Amino acid sequence: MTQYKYFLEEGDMPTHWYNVLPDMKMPPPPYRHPVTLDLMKPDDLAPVFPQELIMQEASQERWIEIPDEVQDVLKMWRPSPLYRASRWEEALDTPAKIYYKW
Amino acid sequence: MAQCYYAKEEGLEGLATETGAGQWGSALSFATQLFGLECKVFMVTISYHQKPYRRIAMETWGGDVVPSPSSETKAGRDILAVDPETSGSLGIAISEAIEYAVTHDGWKYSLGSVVNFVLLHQTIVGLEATKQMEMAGDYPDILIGCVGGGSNFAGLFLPFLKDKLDGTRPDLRVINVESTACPSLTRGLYAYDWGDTAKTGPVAKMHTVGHSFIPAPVHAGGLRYHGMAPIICRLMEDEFVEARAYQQNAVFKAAHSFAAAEGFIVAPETAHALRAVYDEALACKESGESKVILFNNSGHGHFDLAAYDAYHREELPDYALEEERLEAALAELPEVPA
Repeated sequence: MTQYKYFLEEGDMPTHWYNVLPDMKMPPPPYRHPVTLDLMKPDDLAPVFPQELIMQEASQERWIEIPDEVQDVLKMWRPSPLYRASRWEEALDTPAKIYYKW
Repeated sequence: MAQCYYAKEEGLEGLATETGAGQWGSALSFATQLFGLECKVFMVTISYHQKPYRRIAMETWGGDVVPSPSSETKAGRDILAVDPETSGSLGIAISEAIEYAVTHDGWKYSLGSVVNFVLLHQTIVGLEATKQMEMAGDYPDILIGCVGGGSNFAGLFLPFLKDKLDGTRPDLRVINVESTACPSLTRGLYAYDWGDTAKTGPVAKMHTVGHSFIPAPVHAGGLRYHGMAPIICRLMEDEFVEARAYQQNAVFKAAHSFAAAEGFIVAPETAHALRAVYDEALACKESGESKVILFNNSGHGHFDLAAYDAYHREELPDYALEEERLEAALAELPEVPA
């Protein structure tokens, strides 16, 4: 019998986000100022974004902790299920195994 | 949620944002409520009119939604002066949201995609999925998702791509699917460009069709962004991920096939991912290979039934994108000193 859904408990929810930047072969080049086209400094972004987000934008930390308050709110509907689309596989008559994350 | 948390910690009163089809605007409209912030949403005008119930949902969650371009900002007024009938674009909506944020005390700008920190926050999706795939006893051969700015799919694929980047899973394929109406990855240039149409936001190196490009008014409003997340673009250049583009009718055909089998009516954006899954699944039927495909079901299509109706009536257009239009927009990129 196919299992259609895979659930995680709230306690299994990730506690850290994954930052790909330190693992990239080459990171994306830094942003440029919209007017001068010089390299953008963190101060240039301060009127636009909250400070913590400016720091996260360039962080080289591989794992960044998700604040408790954010985790708590996310638990209202996360973790979300993973589904196996076995009926679509049958309809397409494919040997492929199709999963989707909702 | 994360952006609202950091905004609240900083003592802000409100966040302004852009939205295409309205999923991001909905998320922010609700999240701001939970953190006691106000929310202003500039919704791309074609989507605002194509999906009125999405706008009402955002208002129900507490968002103040206006169609973009609007007369509330100089950026919006400038566009309307030149082209009052424009369908709008995410690039324009971003310009308006940034202007609104910097001209209102206690407000800053929140965005739904493109930048590194949004992709970072979305990795919760892929981190959950890696555990769930383990439970299922499978590991993906192919990951598929639709991309507008790139955050929903990057959120799923980055935690898996980690295994390709460290050499553990060298054959992992990651397919980014976009609309032919806004083909940043498949027909754009990898170059520096403004992230917004009024040229007020940062300039990023990314695959772009040009900040002034207005995509055809396809129903996949969330895919109508001229650029792409710089992280995804860099990964494309280094050949860790790939891209393809589809027309509307092709994606709705796949969406129908999926709905008939699984019961899920997906958003037009998500239908782009479905078409790639459909094609890869049929390729497996040809080759006999039992590949494991994991895709991101990024949203339902309940506010997009007018699009499905048009498809049923065979009135859904497939728009050709002439090379001259692309060339004209790409001629306006900035010259960035080395």
